[in-house]
Amino acid sequence: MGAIDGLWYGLNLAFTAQNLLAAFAGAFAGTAIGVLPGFGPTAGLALLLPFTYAMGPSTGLIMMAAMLYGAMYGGSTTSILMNMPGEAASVITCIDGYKLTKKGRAGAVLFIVAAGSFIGGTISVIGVMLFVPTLAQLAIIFGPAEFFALTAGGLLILSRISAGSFAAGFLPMALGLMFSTIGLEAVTGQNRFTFGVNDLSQGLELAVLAVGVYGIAEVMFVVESLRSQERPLHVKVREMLPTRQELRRSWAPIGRGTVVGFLFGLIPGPSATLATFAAYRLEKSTSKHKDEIGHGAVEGVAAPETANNAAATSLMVPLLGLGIPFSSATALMLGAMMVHNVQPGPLLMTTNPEVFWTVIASMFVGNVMLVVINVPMIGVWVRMLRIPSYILLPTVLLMAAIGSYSLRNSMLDVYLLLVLGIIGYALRKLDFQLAPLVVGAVLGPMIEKHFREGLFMSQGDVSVFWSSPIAIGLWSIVLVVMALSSIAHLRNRILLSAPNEA
Amino acid sequence: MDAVHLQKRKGYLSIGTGGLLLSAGYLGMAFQLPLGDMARPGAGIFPILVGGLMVFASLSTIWEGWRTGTGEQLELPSGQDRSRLLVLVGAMSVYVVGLPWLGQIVASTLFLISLMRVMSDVSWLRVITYSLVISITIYVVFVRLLNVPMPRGIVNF
Repeated sequence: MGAIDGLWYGLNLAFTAQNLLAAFAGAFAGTAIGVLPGFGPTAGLALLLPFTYAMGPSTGLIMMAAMLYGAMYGGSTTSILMNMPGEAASVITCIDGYKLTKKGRAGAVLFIVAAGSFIGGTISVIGVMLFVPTLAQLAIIFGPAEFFALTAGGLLILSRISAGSFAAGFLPMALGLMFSTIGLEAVTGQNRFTFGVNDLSQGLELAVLAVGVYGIAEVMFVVESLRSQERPLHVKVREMLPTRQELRRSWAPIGRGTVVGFLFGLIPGPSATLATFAAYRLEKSTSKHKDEIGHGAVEGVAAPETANNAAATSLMVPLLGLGIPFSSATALMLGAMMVHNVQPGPLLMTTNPEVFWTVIASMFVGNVMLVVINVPMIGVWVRMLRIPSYILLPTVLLMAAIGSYSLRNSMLDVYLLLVLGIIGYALRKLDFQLAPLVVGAVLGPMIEKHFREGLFMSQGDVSVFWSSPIAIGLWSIVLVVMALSSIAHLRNRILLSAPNEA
Repeated sequence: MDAVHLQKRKGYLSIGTGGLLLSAGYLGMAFQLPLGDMARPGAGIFPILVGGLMVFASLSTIWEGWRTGTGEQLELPSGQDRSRLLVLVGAMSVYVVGLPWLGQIVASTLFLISLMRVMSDVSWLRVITYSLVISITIYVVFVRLLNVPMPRGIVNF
């Protein structure tokens, strides 16, 4: 199936009443949960994804994509209106976004963010369409050794890049791998680390893990530092539209943000966060209005938010092409796709091309729905933010508990939710990173599978893992990245301690 | 925010030590699994590798903690901030333990009342009213409309 035919097929599937309604509901729910302070897109997505499980594959995929875009947009809204980033990737938006809000340009900024996110996301989807087939063709020649290098090496890179210190990423990664070994072992059917509890035979639910370590932990942080709630400023409809000058100044940053975001999304690590910082730095060095950036300039919001959405989309390239998630959000998407019997990876395009194109179409539809509902509904999100924390946060916690229970009607998941929340809180308090934990929990079974397959095929010869040129190349990249990160971290420590010694 | 400070060094040493203890238990259980041989690795091989990784990670954490200066401090909550946090954890604990017996509506209402009182200065009447409205709304949406079979408990709805 060619690209045009495939896309046309996917769009035909997507544009039915049921699927459009699913896209609307997904974008609405995703934005609502993303707007909530204290939850963030990853935990929000984890909370909402189980609701897609009961739907058909194409409807479920469309709703998921819309939720993802909605959650990311919602996180930006709190940054701009309340100076409270909903996630790490929205931190940089606070700088200029909130200053523009105080100048009375909140509506216009939100409009530009929606437009930029749409443009960045759409162009990024086109990039995904072009890159994934090439990557998939390359990956067909991969064997267990190459996939082991890719999954294990990618996870190591993620753990190193996510955190400043080695231990801050490595220990959570190891913990996530430990979690992944709980349950029924795939090949022999042996129960591992279940302590005789039947429910644990199915392993740890990914949604419970994500909501616990991200959502519950984050709510604990918010409750701990509860301050008198700042009410978001009222946004008038007539102030919604940007001026011609604001639009003119936004185009170039949106273009640059798209490219930066797309490229960053292809690498393992906190791509969206890195993309926003990189896009902001690029604007500060190339923009005609660089002096205004940092003091309330549209460039300081348009570029990072476009990069954020573009990166979130291009993160789908390794997921769809290789079947490997390199972020918490795509890890959740992988889990949800497998529930719908969609196995992303190099064979997806050859064995189920219609499914692949449905996923692509769902990304287009989700992106469109983001703009369609979020621009007119900015007032609704502002009103949501005016709901007091003492009502919102306990309600969200209840929904998290019910959502966890609903996954397999087990109280065990609710107990685990609380325990994981406490673990997530403790790790974050000590500046440990949580993304390697979640991605480790998802990649663990894949890493084990490729490891055992490699040993089986080589009759126990471990040198198989570094005997092919591709595997050697991948491990070399891993070693170089780990070494450079460590050198950079060491250099920063020396620079920070130098003034004290002087 | 009221705060007490904890040396980051102590935090890292504690986490690293905890990790070592966890690894010891994990590896103890992993070695009891069938190991197979190199050509046909059993269910225990990967957990042993992961346990080894965890040992390494824990030792790295202890090493980093050891090398961290005593000047690096972390803020822990104290006073009212700590009380709120403890009430949150306590309320959630009581909710998850009590849910099977009390049922969704009663457990949710009690949970909401305790948290809302701690997080705000609003009157008891308003807190109880909000809690009941939210609990019943959640019940209607999730249990009745979405058919999530939450525990019924003493109310038996």
